[in-house]
Amino acid sequence: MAGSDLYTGTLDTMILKAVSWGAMHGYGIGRWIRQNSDDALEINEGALYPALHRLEKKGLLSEEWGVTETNRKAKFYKLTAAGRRQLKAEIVRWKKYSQAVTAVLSASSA
Amino acid sequence: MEMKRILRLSFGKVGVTRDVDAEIRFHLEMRAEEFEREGLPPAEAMQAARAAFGDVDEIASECRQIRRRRALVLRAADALRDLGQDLRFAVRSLRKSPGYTAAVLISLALGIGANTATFSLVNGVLIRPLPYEDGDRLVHLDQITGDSTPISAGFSPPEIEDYRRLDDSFQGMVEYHSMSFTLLGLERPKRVSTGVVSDNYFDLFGIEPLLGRTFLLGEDEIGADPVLVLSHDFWQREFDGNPGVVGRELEMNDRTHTVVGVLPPVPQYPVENDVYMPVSSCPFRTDVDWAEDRDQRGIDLFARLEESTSLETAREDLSKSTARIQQSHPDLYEVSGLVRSEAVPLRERLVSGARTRLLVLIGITGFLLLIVCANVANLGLARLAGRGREMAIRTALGAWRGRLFRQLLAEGTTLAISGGALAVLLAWATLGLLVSFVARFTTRAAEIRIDSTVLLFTLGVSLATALVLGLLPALPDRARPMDRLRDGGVASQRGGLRTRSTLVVGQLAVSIVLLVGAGLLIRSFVRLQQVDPGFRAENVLAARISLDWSNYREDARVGAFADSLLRRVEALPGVTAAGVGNKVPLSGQGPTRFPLQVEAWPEAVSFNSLPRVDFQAVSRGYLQTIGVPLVHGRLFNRQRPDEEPEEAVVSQTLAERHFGDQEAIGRQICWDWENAVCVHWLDIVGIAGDVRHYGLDSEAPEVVYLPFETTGWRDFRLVARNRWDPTQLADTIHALVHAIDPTQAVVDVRTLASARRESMAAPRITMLLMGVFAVIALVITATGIAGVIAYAVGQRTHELGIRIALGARRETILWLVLRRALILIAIGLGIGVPAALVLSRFLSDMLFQTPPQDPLTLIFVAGLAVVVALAACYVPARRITAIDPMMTLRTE
Repeated sequence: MAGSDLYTGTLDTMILKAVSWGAMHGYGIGRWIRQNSDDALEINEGALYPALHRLEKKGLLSEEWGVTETNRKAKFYKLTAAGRRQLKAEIVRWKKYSQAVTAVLSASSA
Repeated sequence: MEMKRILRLSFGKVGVTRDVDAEIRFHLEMRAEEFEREGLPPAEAMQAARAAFGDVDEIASECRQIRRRRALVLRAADALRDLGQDLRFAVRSLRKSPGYTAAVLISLALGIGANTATFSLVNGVLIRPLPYEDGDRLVHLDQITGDSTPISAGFSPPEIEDYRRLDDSFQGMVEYHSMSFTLLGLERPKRVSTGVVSDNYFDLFGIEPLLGRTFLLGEDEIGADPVLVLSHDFWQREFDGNPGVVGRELEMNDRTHTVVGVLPPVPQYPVENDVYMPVSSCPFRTDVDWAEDRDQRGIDLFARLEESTSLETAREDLSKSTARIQQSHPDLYEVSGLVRSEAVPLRERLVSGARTRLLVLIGITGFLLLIVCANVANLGLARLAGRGREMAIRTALGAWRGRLFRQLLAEGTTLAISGGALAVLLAWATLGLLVSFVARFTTRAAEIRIDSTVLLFTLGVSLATALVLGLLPALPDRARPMDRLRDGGVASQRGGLRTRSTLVVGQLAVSIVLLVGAGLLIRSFVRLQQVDPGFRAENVLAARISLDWSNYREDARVGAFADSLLRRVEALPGVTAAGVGNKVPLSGQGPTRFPLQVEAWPEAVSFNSLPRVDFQAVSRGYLQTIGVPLVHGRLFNRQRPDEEPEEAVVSQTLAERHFGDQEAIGRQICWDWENAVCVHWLDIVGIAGDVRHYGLDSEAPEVVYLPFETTGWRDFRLVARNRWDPTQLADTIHALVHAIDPTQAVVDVRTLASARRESMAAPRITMLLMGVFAVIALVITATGIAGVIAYAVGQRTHELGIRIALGARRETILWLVLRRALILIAIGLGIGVPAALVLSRFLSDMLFQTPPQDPLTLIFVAGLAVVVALAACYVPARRITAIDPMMTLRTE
């Protein structure tokens, strides 16, 4: 996972998407990505955390310690207003990009 | 606040590690539980979780790093926000007490401003390196002659050659002398002071020309084309800084000189010259009469020390050379009495006249700053006492001490920096005046400016003041907030009063030192003003006329010119007397010293030990014109220009000193020697009153007056006494001179009265500066004393009210308060007077006929200090009489 720009950017976007429904802790975000990608993306789960801290540093996420349903202390991440804007932009960009790639790849002949 | 504290916790040093570890631990535990639910045994489940996670340590450390960087940014933003908040708060709270703010700002502007100004002088003159390449290795060489009165003689051309040959502790030796020549080709004939120098003169100093070039090697050899280099100042004045001046041709001494370059603005020693020429262009220096006469001196030498040579070694080498030169011409040096040679660093020569004054000045302003700081601290304390309750409440409400302290520091900094900015403005506004003052003592004055060093100094002083302002209030602030809330902030103020009293005593002591200094200078100045100069300056105009050497080679022509000018001037309506002489009193010219030999003295008196006296050439009308009385005898008779002088008039001092009780008139003194034997005698025919020619503060010189026409002085002064304002004669004199010869320059036209005033300008400005500083100090101190007494009264209003209610007489109460003031004043005097006695001796160089320990000045200053201090006490103390005992009791 780590190393490739494409993947890093993708992971960031997926994190933003994960927390767009509400505050989540790191483990929950990881699980959400795993489940929604059908385990198709081979993620080193640990890579999630540097990404989370970087997003927090950029001001796209905010963090707060809280308590889970099972009454354990965990750090929750929440999308900031800037994070929400970033997510929207990423989604638009990704759609255009994938459409273009799809169009190119599905072209039958010249 | 809450949010910030949490952030601090998770971004603190320990916090970062704990935060990251906890987060990762949580993840691993949750993941392990997931694996357990999928059926793995607990031990393996944890392993699987770790495996899925990746390298735990590495990831944790990466996270920590990101967070640490984040923390830095956060903290910086935090600090900036705090600072902004502190400053905004400081400005707001200062604006709420405009009186306090104004008082502090004015004090600081004065105190720091005076220091900024004097420091810029010290920096420009004493601290900054000379603006020459490696200037500290440049030395000025001189030869000293005369046993009884040492006279700087300079070098003769053959001696220069000898020294150049013999001495090897110098990298180079260049010669210099200054002459005045008439420059033609400008609007009017212009008399210019001309530095006559070696071809490598500017190279030795490392001066790069601003325009064109300096002299080329070989240009000082006879036969080279005449060239000129202009000084920066002259170029600005005469050519408006026009760069096209290079290549311009100007007439001088009947030859065409080409301007080849312009100098940058650098200080010149010993005097500022208008132009420079190589020695080959000077008609006198190239004349065999001078060039080959070992006994014709007057040339300065400058040299650069070899890298490896110390000044001491160079001096020893120089003395050895002097001894060798003297040994090779024993007969000559026996007669001329050349004793020794000396080498003095150029820096020393340039600034020695200004050093004492500048150091005294910076000392004075330093003292002033002390007073200002004490005053400002005092004001701060008073203000703080008023805010005692506010601070106590804020402390009780949980503002931490550091925060309050920072608040005070922020206020202090705001005040000090604004005060510093005002101070720079003040210094900048007064700098021109101060520079012209310093210019009287050193040519380095031109280098004085407010540069980065000065600004740094000001910033440093301001910040130090800010610290004083911030720290001082913190000292007595030890009372517990609860105590202060209870008593309304009174308990802690006892300490405040003690601190404030100490400050006031210090202020008073320092003020006394400054007042004594000012008093001494004033007394000295008054003495100086009362000095009888020996001439009557009113209504006399003097003008300098320097006849062109090339047109007035023969003495007869000079005499004829002077005669015809005098006849025309005397004929002017209003002119009652006129004369010419080679100098006028107090005009800054030095004496012309010759050996004095009286015919009755035994032959055994060696030539070397003859006293040197001042010889002056004057026309018959000169003494009468400037109002010098003829005490005995008569004036000398008129002579023909081609004759040797036969008769002389001597000054009273000379007559008394060398003839004692015996009648001087009818005796003879020597005019001309050959091999130390007198070959021509003069008859003394009259005795004239003494004149303080060379400064009101220096003794009247011993003078021999000779008939002007026999001496052939080409550079002379015309003096004319008018019935009314003599300045009206100025234009007429210009016209008269030009009517006789339009190519001659008339300069320095001014009244003798203005020359006299000018000669007192330096002591006057010194006195004024010191006086202003002392008065500022006294006023500030008086307000300080008034403040402390007012404070003491205010603090005890309640107690005093009760006393009055119980029947105490108001006079008794008043005395109670005044007693405190008297104790303060007594202590202040006790410290200030001895300190003044010790410190005033630094002024002794600047005092005229006034001992630094002058008792009258001390008594007067002490009296003044007591009166002003008591007056300052009286105003607030009078408030006691206004205390209404009923009111006091009711507020209980």
